[in-house]
Amino acid sequence: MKRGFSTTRLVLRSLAHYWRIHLAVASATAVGVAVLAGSLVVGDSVRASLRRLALDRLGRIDRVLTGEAFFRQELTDAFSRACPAILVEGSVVDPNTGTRASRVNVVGVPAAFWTFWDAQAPWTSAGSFDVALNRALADEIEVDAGGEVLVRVQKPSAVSRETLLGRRDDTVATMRFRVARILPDEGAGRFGLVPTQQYPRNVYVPLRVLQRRIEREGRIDTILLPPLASDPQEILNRVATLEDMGLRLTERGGFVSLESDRVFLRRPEIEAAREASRDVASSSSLTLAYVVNAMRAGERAIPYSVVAAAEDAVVEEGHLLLNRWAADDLRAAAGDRVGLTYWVPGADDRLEERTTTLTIAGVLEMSDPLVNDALVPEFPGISDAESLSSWDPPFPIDVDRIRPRDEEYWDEYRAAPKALVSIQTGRSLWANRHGDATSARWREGTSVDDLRRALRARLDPARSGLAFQPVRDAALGASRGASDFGGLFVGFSLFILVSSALLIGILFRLNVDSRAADLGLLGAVGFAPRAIRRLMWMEGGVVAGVGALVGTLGGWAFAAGMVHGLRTWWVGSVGTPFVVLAVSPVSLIGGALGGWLVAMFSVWQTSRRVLRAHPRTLLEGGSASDRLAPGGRRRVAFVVGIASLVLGGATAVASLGASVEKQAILFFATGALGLTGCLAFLSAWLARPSAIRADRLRVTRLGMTGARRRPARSLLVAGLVSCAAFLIVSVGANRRVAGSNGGKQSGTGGFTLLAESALPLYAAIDPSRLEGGRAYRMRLRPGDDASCLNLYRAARPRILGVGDDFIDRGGFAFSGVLDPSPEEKSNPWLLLRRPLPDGAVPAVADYTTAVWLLHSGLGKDIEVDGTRYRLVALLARSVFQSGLMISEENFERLFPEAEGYRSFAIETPRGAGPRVARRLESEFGDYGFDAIEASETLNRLMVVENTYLSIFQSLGGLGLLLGTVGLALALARNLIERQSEFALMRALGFRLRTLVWLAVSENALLLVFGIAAGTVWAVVAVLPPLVARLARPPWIELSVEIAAILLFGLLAAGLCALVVLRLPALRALKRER
Amino acid sequence: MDSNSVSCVVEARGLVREFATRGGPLVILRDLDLCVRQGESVCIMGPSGVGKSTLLHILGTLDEPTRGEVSILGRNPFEMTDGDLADFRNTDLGFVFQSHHLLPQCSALENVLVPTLVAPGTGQEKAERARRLLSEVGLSDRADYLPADLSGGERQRVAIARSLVNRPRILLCDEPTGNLDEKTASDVADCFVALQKREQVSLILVTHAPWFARRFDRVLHLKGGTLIPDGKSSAGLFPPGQTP
Ligand SMILES: Nc1ncnc2c1ncn2[C@@H]1O[C@H](COP(=O)(O)OP(=O)(O)OP(=O)(O)O)[C@@H](O)[C@H]1O
Ligand SMILES: [Mg+2]
Repeated sequence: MKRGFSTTRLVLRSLAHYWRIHLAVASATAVGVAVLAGSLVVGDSVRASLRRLALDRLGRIDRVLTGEAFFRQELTDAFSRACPAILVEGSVVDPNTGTRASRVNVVGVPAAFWTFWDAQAPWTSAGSFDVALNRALADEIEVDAGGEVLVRVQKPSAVSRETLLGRRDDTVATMRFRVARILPDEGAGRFGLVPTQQYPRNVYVPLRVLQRRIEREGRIDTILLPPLASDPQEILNRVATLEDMGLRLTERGGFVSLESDRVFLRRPEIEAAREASRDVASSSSLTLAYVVNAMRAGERAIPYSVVAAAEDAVVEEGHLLLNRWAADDLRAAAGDRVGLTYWVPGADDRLEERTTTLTIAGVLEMSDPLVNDALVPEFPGISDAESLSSWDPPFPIDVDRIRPRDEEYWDEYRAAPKALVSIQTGRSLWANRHGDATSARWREGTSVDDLRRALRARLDPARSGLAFQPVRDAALGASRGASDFGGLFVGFSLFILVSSALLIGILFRLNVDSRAADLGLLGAVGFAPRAIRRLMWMEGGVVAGVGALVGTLGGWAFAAGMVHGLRTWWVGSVGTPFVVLAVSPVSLIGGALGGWLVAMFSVWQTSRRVLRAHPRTLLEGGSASDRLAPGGRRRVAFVVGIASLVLGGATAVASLGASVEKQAILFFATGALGLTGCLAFLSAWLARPSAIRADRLRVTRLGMTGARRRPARSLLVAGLVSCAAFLIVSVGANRRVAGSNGGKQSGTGGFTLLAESALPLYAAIDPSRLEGGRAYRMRLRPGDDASCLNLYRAARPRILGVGDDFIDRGGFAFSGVLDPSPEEKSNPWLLLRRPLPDGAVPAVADYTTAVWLLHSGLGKDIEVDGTRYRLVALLARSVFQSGLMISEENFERLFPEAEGYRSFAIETPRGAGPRVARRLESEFGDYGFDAIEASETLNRLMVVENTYLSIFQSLGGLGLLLGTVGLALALARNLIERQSEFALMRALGFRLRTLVWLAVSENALLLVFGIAAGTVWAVVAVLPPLVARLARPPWIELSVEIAAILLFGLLAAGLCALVVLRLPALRALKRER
Repeated sequence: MDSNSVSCVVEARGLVREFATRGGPLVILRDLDLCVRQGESVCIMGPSGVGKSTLLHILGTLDEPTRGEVSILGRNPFEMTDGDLADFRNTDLGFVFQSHHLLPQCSALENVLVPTLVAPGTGQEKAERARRLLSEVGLSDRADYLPADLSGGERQRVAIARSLVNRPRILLCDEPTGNLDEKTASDVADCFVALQKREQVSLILVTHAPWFARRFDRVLHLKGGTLIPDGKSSAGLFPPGQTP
């Protein structure tokens, strides 16, 4: 002996001597580590890919300002290397074929835009009629470079179309362009501000051309910024003018007036006006000007006049002041009553005519300062009209009613009000959700410059939407992903992990069992339990360490395989093949460490059990690990078995009528109880004294007693197999098969079509277009797609405002409802109307959206832009993934600036869906109307879910395979251990065939038992939800899968037995010590 | 314990060992008394299955009695902590088993050295002693052999050397010659007696061979769960000059 004998040396000797079993343990560890580390790397890869994509689509863009309205392009000049842009949604049509793509991003940009990606502008000159399409858009409408396209966008208007002065017609600009180039779907070709891994559909138009075509020359709505040294918001706050915020200060008619492009002043603007008055030592008066169609007194009437409600008009409520001209024309005097007839925007975008009768309080002379054109804000089409009959207001006028004297009034006094009412009266008649004042006025002499400064100081540009968003940071934040793919794949591979952990356990135990006498000897010669444990740990640590090291490389390979899968077979789960392998050492090391620790845990477990045994027991070759106590414990196992099976059956039955959420819990309970019951019975059976009656001795019975000899190991094997079978069958059964399930209580809610338009529609869809169906329109606040189609974290989910008609209609299946009344229980949508005591906004969301993508749940709050939404009900597997749904009333309160209706749920008679969709799409083509069959939307979401399930199934199958290999390995080891026994039997004249059968039957028993228990309980657990959903799982596929696994297991066992038993008998006998 | 018994290095009083079986408790040792003195050699005989190994295991602290007192070197081993007991086994007791129990992965020399791994002392010194013991049992040229390559007698001799490596004060042997032919058995027996005398250990040995038993100071028969002195031998159940 060259060097001293030491504990380390003893460990090394053991490692070398028992290399076979150690190799097996190391392999099992390697597989576990490979899968764990690989899964984490998949997570890294998805995150890194999302990140790469996020940076790719933004180029060097760091911050973006997207205004609510258009502002001066010169604002861009305050920033170095800023790029002005107009970003609007629109639709693109191939004029030759009529093929249309809706919801296209129309990107109006100058050449500077392309420098964010170090690229050249794709068009020849900035003024040309050339555009570029990205590949996704070009493919959708099948247009190539050189072709022509029609691009349609909404003409921007600051004035809400839902007010009297908002334009409802002529809102769409259609432009014809030549396609200069098709950009690949990367870099600038993937430009978009919304985080998604799906391809955006973009058309790039030279900024100047777009500005001209939508009549907004020198105006933009977006500034794109590269990273800047200084805070751009500060610069912006300094340089932004009132005009950029959509306000103007005019001096005319003896007044200085603050007016808004939106016609109505907003609350903060009104407040700023009041406060600014103090700075300039003046006082302001609010005015609400309105056009009335007729003023009537008795038989006489004046058409088309302006009536103003003014704070400084001294008149009581319910009264009005006429100006002299009007009083004369109406031949009316104080005390007479005057009827005012005017339009108000009513439901469905129709104007309703209303009449109010007021009493004349007095007459104002024409020289009165309030009889003044300056009380009426400038309004294109009215205030700039040459004559009254050339008025071009956004509401219908009857030119025939205009008399020559009206034209004379117009010539002389322009829009000066013919009547004045108090501001309160005005508000009660004409205020709407957009505001209740059209101007704030100061007396002449107030310094306009001072006032401008004072107002500007009090108005925060950010509140008018002039705020830079850190899009790059947000994109990087969102690329952490809505769901952690690392975790997801660990979950998918859970079965492999569990298998390898159990396998390590089985193998280690085998190892220890066969060396029990050695351990006993160490105890007998004075090794304290602690010292023996240390030896076992050292040995286990080295073996697991080697396994972990190899597994790390395997993890690399596993991740590469999974990423390949995500790009090919499973691309359905992520939409586009964007995932590339990104290996991070942290994940590899973490996985290796994790796997190693799991292995060490089973070493610890085994050593603990072994050391509990007395050295004498060990010396005699027995190990405590396998001693199941007879009698008492067997009875306990029986009782546990029966109780578990009965309870399992009960939960299965209970789950029949339970809600979806409860069903999920009951499903697991049923499975767990069922399997526990089966395994308890098995354990009782294994513990039964194996008294073989001589008269009934048969070879198979001998095999069964073999299973009994190592009851703990047998139980472990059966447990492993049954869990695997349970998972495979239940996951497989949960696969959704596309069906024509379109009932009102289904995921489609009974709707046949879902539509969305790029531009808001104001009018209701004419029912005659729907073949007797009905359309429910919804308001939409665009945001991040929070459906499973988007992998990015949705920080600002889309918000839909559903109308009363929709709420009253009800429908859809719910997975959970927050403490409903009986009425709300039958129609949970009603909860949207119930105000919540703490002011949170009640919202409904799809279960998947709420739980998986927004990481929230029933009764929990989600905060979006400072507003808290409480999830009062969750839809089960619905078409309404992607966002939150709230009542229209709440929506209008929260988003007064959101215009019209952009989302539609449509009922049609059976089979009419596609026809109606085509009709609506062509009719509202200008609005980018895009209708999809609800069942298809559901299928698309289902594809994602099914793809995830198939990943799970593939990996689960792999795990079971591994388990089976482990089983064969354990069998081989067991046979080697018992070689002398078999050699003896051969010496006694048993045939080889008989012995192989003997060896296989012992394991076949466990395999068949495990698979049967797992399958039966999976079916029992999965049936109630399936019955409830009327789904039909792929039974045949599943049966084949299970049969294949069983066959593989038996073959592996048989082959293994054959190989071992063929070894020469003498060698086996000599192995006896 | 009275002053007389202080001279007992191994003492058992009223020892009972029962095994729980399906048919009720099986009594193997019944009220067994024993005292072995320093340097004395005692041989225990008896038919197969009578409980000889059971007794030896208890005396070797590998098993616990159901009832009764055991005192080894004046201490009750069953009241020690795990660690103390392990040290006690390591330094004061040597054990040779019916089947030799060598570690298959270690060479003969290493097998002898296994008990020294948890004993104090330098490696050099231990290795020297192990070599000397091996040569004393006549295996100096087999030091690097693995157990699988040794004959049965050689293995048993390695086990004997191993039992003595930590200079135990008590040596317990369970049929060390049971599996051997007469010639080899006789060699092993010679080797035993010589070493026992030289190392001055107290020896308790189980054997079926009367010729072997004759070389002991005392021969005891295990019968009906208790020890009975050998009629032919002058020695009684207790060492000369002692009564319980
Ligand atoms: N764990 C146990 N459970 C039940 N009975 C046991 C147990 N261990 C030993 N026995 C029984 O105790 C008796 C004595 O066993 P022991 O090994 O001491 O016999 P022995 O005298 O050494 O026999 P041999 O000369 O054959 O070695 C035997 O009948 C045996 O069956
Ligand atoms: Mg014996």
